[in-house]
Amino acid sequence: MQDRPRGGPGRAYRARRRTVVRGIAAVSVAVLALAGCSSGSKGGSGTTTLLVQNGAGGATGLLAAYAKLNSQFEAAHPGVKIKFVTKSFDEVVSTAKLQLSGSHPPDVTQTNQGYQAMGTYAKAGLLTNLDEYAKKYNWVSRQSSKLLELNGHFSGDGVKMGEGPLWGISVTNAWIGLLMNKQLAAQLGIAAPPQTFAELERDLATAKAKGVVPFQFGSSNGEMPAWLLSELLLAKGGPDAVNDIVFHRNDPTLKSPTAQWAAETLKSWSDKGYFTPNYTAYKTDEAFSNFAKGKGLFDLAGSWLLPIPGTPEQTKNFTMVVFPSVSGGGPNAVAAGDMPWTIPTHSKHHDLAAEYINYISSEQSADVLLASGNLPSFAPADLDAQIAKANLPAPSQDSLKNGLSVINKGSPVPFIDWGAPDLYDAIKSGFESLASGSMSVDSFLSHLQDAFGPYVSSLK
Amino acid sequence: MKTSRTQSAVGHAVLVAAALVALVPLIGVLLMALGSPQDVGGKVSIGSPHFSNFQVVWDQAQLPQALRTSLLISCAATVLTIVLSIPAGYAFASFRFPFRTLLFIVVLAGLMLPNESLIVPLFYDFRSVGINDSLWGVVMVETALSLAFGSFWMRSFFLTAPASIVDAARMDGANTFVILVRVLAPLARPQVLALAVLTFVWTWNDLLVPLVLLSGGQQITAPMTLAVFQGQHATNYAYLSAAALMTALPVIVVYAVLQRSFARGVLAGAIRE
Amino acid sequence: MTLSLIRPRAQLRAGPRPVLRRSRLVPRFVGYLYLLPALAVYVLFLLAPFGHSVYLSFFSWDGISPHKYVGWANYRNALGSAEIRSAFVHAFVLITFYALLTTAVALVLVGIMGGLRVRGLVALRTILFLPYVIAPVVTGVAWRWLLSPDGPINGIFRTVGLGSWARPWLGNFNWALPSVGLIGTWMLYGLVMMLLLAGVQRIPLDLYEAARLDGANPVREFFAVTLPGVRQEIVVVLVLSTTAALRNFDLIYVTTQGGPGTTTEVPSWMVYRQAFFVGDLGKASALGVLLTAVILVLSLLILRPWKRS
Repeated sequence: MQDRPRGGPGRAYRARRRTVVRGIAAVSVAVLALAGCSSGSKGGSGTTTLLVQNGAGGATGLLAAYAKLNSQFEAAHPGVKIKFVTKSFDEVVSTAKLQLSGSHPPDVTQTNQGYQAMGTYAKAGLLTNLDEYAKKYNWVSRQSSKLLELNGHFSGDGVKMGEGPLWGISVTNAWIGLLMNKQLAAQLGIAAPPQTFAELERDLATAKAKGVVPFQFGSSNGEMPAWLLSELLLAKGGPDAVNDIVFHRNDPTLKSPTAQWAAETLKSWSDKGYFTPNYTAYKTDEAFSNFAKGKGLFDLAGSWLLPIPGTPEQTKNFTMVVFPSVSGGGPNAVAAGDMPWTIPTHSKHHDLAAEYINYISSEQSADVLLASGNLPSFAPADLDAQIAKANLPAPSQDSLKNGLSVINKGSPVPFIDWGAPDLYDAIKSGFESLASGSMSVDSFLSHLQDAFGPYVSSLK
Repeated sequence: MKTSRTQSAVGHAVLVAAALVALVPLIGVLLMALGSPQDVGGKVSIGSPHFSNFQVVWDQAQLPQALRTSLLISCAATVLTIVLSIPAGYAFASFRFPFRTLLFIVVLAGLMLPNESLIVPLFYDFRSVGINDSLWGVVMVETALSLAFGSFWMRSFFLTAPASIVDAARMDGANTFVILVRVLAPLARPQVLALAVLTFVWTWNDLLVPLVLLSGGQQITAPMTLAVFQGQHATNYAYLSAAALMTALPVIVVYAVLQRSFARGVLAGAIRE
Repeated sequence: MTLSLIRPRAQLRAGPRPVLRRSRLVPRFVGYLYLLPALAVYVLFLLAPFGHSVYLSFFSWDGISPHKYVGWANYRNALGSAEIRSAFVHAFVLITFYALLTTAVALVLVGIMGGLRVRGLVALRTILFLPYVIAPVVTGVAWRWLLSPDGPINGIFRTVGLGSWARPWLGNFNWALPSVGLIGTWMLYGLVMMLLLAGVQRIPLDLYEAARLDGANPVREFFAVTLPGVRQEIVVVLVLSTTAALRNFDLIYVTTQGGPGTTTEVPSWMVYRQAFFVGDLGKASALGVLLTAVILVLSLLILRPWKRS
């Protein structure tokens, strides 16, 4: 029809008004009806509902594992129903403070690590001290004290991370490892993954010389610069170089010789063209996706990005190993638990909540998590058999084995940006300026220190 | 009188180009929604379509419940906004009263308040009077947020409403209320419909207000369901796109339906009696 | 009665008079009766929390611990930070795209539609409106694909022999901000067109006929009849799109996260991060108040030249 957008409206307006009024009335009735329905569907009958909130949005495999654990828990506890609310990490982090201080928080919720989150809530008395439950269920036997300190302990004044009471416990873990394309490596004459930092730099140079992208990289969402900086500090200065920054120990500073070395390394890798061309335009998962397509010798990846898509024939060409250290010691890597599970002070079912947390962090649960490709906090005795049973692609198996060896035999360290709330943004913007040449190594380190130093003193 | 063939051809070409520019990125979204859920990264590829993504999303994201909540909030906020904006715009455009300009600027400022910083004090205020986690609290805030635009928009209409019609009505002895309801409001139909569409879309798509104000409870709105597919580090773009398309569908339907009735009114032609 | 008498053009330009303002029959306070319900909702649910937020801007507060009065420190810090100042500059660049470019594009489209018998108008308008309806988390991802270093847009440049124009749009220090601005234009132009069309609907057909009798071509007709006829709508649209430009943190979040470097950092993004991730409500409120002040001044500037009567 030729409906031209011009000309004034021109019907008898009485009829028109009637239509409008009728329309509004119809909508109002519909709204009221809907309101009626939604209020009518509430109300329970003698069962206890445990409201559990998680921040695992996007992790399809993990959520499926939790669904299984929840139904097992419900089967073992007649009369208990789990209401499992899934949110994105960002949503949980951004609303945690409001929820926890509100009148009806969830009975169990994941709470982010760090001074801004767990520290602040512990100080304000919004979380339940789990020390008694930890003793009752003997959680210390399940997770190494390093992991518990990293993810769950905080001093009651919110100042010292890794000390004081236990407020939460992580159930799965993630670590940052070096992905390598073994097929490309073989073509370049590289026989095995690098064992030392010098070998890594040699391999990068070889790839560059032969026209292969040495290192898949993407700085667009800021994760990879923060990981690489953490890994470089760890490679040069050992676990304490990162731990001191994050736990605010031994007068920490980002203007140390180790940090200087790390920044210079970042700069030289960028200058030598080791990173993907145009890496400022890619995000972490885009870099990973390019790596999985066979572009690039190495990639720095979080274990949660696995499995690498492809047929077993294709994926067996990849492996995930620990980022090598300068001294060759280790295995050390950036590794941390998922957001720890906590019980808000205003939870309505504290004991049941603790029982639930105990269940999902138990050895039986570890098997379920492992079978879905997630990294539990401790290795089952029959690890190899369990991994074989899970029928995972080769790189995922490597990731589980190497990750567990870091957690149990080596030193897991936290992400460097946990040290101060503004540090992540400072690393992201600073790194891109450093690499583009608009910022010197010295001013890059000052930029980081400005985001870190004042925060450390403000807590004292 | 009539536009020439060439003009018409050029004009149509420009409009088709404008429509294509709007569509191409959306086709990207559609292709992502049909992509393999195993893919990592926002990949747009033309392969075998995975229609099952929509089924998975429907099951996983508690969509039926969320759509109902969103519909309730959006309809209520839209009706309230219209019912309140029409008289407010009328007042600003057609009456003289003390502090009119000042009040208008204050209302206009409401268009500009950044809700990112407002919403947190609002949460504490709501909690202190006990209306946190209530749908009506969300409706009232969404209405308040749309009212600034609504009053401004309706005022613009009333400012340009044909004076002769109003004069005629006044000569017939109609009072200001009768003029509004019988004469001006019917004329404002395109404006009211545009306002209804916008308020509905704004309320429907708003994430922050319901996220904060319903944070403790169990109610979720449509945009909140997208979170299930967004992770701390990795996002499932296939499911996310499928969910985004499904949550946008009701808005598109509302727009298309309102637009048809709107176009019918226009066909009737010029103002006559 | 017919309303067909053509008003002289000069009078149309000056804008029709407010209808009941001067009437002696209307008492001075009747306007309040119409305004009051809206005002009550508005004050209660928007203005009061804003007042609360202004109050908070003088404190350091994490949302839980007791408030700590800091005077003007939050404002001093915000205004003293080069990063925040440049974020406001970025916002102005975005306004050029979101408001000026969008309105220009939409006016051209409306002009064309005004002069044509367009087939499939309902479908066309629905299509143009779609970019505004679908969540930016997703359309942003689609744009990342279109603009990626080896994406379709660079592909087109390479095929037509303009390979030197190809670049990583969203990762380029100079082009990231204009690219985000163009995505904003894309999101808004259909909406702006729809609002302008609502104004065009109201222009009496007679005016067009009169213009044609005067021998006006479509272009002159547009400037003589359509443009003055949608003056009020243009003001609304400019205010609305300016506001959108200053509040676009979700688009920034999906496309660039403020990078590369700090080239796409904008104030609303900083407010959001301060309020929800860093958790200093005092700082966030101060930034929010500053942002409000800037938008208010801008909007008054937009409104001013139109208030000639």
